[in-house]
Amino acid sequence: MDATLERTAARILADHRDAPDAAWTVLDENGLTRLWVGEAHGGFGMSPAEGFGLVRLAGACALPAPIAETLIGTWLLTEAGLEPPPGRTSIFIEGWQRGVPFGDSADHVVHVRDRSLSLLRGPLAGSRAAVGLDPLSDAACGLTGSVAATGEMRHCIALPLAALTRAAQMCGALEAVLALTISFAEQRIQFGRALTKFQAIQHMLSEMGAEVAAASAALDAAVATADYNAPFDRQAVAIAKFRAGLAAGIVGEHAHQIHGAIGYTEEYPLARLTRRLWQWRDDFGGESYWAGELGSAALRERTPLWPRLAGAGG
Amino acid sequence: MSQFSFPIAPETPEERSLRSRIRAFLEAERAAGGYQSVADCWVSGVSPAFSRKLGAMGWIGMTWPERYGGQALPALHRLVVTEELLVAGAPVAAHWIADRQTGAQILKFGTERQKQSILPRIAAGRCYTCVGMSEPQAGSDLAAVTTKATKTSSGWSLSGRKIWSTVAHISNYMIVLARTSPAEGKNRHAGLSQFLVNLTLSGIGISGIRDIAGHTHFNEVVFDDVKLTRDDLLGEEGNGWAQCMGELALERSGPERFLTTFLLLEQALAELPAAFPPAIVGELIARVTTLRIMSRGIALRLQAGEHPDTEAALVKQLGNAFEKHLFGAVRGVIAAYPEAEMPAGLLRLRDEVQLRLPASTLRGGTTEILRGVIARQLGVR
Ligand SMILES: Cc1cc2nc3c(=O)[nH]c(=O)nc-3n(C[C@H](O)[C@H](O)[C@H](O)COP(=O)(O)OP(=O)(O)OC[C@H]3O[C@@H](n4cnc5c(N)ncnc54)[C@H](O)[C@@H]3O)c2cc1C
Repeated sequence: MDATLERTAARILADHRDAPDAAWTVLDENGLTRLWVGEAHGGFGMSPAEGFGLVRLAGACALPAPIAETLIGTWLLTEAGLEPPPGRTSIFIEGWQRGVPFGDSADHVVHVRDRSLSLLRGPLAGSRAAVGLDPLSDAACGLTGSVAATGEMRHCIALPLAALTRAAQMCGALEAVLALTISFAEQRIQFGRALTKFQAIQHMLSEMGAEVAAASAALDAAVATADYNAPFDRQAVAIAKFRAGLAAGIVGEHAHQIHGAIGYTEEYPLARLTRRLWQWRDDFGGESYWAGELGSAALRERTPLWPRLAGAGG
Repeated sequence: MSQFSFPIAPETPEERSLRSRIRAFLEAERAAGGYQSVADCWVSGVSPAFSRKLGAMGWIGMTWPERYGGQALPALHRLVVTEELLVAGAPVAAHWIADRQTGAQILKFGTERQKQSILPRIAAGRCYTCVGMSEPQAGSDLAAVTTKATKTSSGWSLSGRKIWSTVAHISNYMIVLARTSPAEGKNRHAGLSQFLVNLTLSGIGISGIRDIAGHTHFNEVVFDDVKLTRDDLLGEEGNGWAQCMGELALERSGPERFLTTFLLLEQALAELPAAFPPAIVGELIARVTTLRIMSRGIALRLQAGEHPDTEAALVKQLGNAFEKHLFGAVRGVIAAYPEAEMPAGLLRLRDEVQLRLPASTLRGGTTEILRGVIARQLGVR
């Protein structure tokens, strides 16, 4: 991610950690919610990586605001040749969602069925089940609202775009969980020593570190293939979403184990992140879905696996 | 905010064309009976004849300068070659360690004479080397080595005992980690040095040790007052620990930490295509691809002169875990059928891999030690 952009975003997110509405507004004022708007519609011509970088940072704060959804919505609208409206946008990808995330506060909802897109006016009726400020489930806001515009997208990009965006959010949250758990383990004293002095704890932390690194490498590789003018590299996206989901399970489990009872409370910030991780890993295809897609594609061809993974030619 | 860094490098057209060439070469060799695929081939498949053929193709020492027999190619080209050799199960054990790490150590720390006399022979597939770190009382606790080099009028006298030295029985040289002065108080890393030891010198006894499969690929090597010259000291006196640690990043980050059992998966898929649930195959694809991405990132960083030691430990640990997972997955698929219905060759390969698997999480640093390395980088040790 561009260093200046990253600094700006990180500062805004840090300043408004517990005020999601304010965070959304300042990010919006700074143009950060429009990183994926095409140049034809007044966007900045930023590479896709910038938007993925932003949602990763937002994921690290588990910010309960539709940053990711707005970015995805604007990309999809641009892809369909429509002008992304200002304000908060949410998404509904037919067949993949039971409700509209942040629907009750969305100004618009982008509804996608295959390559057809309609832009609906929000906010939607219903409210989210929540713990404090954090959404617990997106299922409550059903898809309603009048149609403001319709269009056709060139490629079927909604699912891979949404899945990769979730993977980016998850990588941010994974890093945050690791950092939080390390600092907790350094401070918590039992048997007269910090928890970090116990090898069993060190090993759980190192396993968490390895998972974060692997998820992050798979994400970076997939993000590097993203291109506004081409369909997504499905295999790279599948690997990134799978790897982030796998990491989320291991990292979440160890983090709660290391934290003990305090981590199991509503007040302590760990569960803000782990609740999101557990939801995001199931959004837009969980590990089995993406692994199944990868495996089916490989098995269909009945050729050796390796040449599919390591391309030759020329 | 990231603790670890793995630069992303898409494959270049040159890499893809190199991959085609090595694949064609391996196909032709196998068809002509030049080799039979084996699992864990970088340890188990010793064939000097095959190593010489690879040398003649220019696929050993390919990143080294041309004046030392190399071709000054990017590190990622070597990675393409090593991946293909491992997936094919080609018999590359003779030269593997020399190509991977000893050559790099000589290039970095050797005298001009050593570079000129040894590197071109390694690159030709005619000179083999081994790693002399472990001792009977110094396994994970490597700094406990007691092999000792004492200064003499003409150089050094080396005495001690190394163990588990892979391919020592066919090697020309071993890099020996030895104590050259006492530890400085609690700092046991001080006072260690590396020596490039010609294994034909008198006073050296090499005896094979059979592994659990009955094969002899590692050895005990005894040094009894072996006379070394001043030039045999590799790098700086007292800098052996740091030099060793640098070597470990080369040793731990390559595809031999996650591709030694891939041929079992390929064979099982070829023989039982309908038996594999897609998600199981997909998970293996996702995991191995992630490891490849990470391994490429490390190769780039090593080439840039950086020290991704922890990243290397991380790849080895995740890679070893992946290989055990792969074995479990394939074994699970096979185990759903009566053995009498399964192809004999597949069962043979499965059993061979089972007997090799326990070594993967021991050699090159155990899982527990690697976790400690990672924990230290995370600042919790
Ligand atoms: C096939 C094979 C090839 C090898 N080739 C070479 C070679 O070419 N050259 C070479 O120098 N060496 C070689 N080795 C040796 C290898 O590096 C050692 O086996 C390894 O470092 C572990 O040492 P050890 O076997 O003495 O086990 P130990 O160090 O005795 O460990 C035994 C167990 O205790 C655990 N343990 C040890 N210390 C700790 C700790 N601090 N915290 C928690 N757990 C701990 C270990 O993880 C392991 O589970 C090879 C080994 C194998 C199996």
